[in-house]
Amino acid sequence: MDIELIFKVAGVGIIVAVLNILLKKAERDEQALMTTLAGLVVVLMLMISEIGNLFETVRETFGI
Amino acid sequence: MTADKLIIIAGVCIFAAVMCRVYDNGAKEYGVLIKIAAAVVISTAVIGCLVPVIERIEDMYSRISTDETYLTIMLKGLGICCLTQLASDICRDSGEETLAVQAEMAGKTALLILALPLFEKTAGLALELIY
Repeated sequence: MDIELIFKVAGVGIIVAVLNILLKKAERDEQALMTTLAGLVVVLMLMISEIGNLFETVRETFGI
Repeated sequence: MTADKLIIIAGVCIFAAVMCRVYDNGAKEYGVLIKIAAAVVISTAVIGCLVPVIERIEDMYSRISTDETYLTIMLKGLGICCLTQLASDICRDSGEETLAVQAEMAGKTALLILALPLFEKTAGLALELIY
């Protein structure tokens, strides 16, 4: 039961949310979009292995 | 699935729900991502706890009858339902009703294909009873 994944996703999300608001205030909307995309890529890279792990567990448990 | 695991899962659910609201004004897509992360972690833990239950069911089942096909079909159906439910709920939760319906359609088709041999067997039995 690894809860670190959720905390990592939460942390990246908070950082990107704060950066978004800052960059929007400084009228740099395109850079705000860039940071959102960068954060999205980081989070998805983190989660891909967990999702694959889940599908593997389901496959072994139910014999699919 | 002991009580303290349940407490951990409840805590994780509450934490993820609160975090989803935090991202509403800054970056909405991270709300969806944290929901997916929490759903994946929790279902991995829950399905991991199912393994002993399935072994005990298989043990009981093997005492009753030697034919394993019905049990394997049931277990596969259960796995398909779990996956389909996870996928369609996440899609529906993030506002994509169409994707949710597509996921459910795929799940139903997989179940139908899986259960087809059973229909044939029951139809054959019915015919034998009639004639």
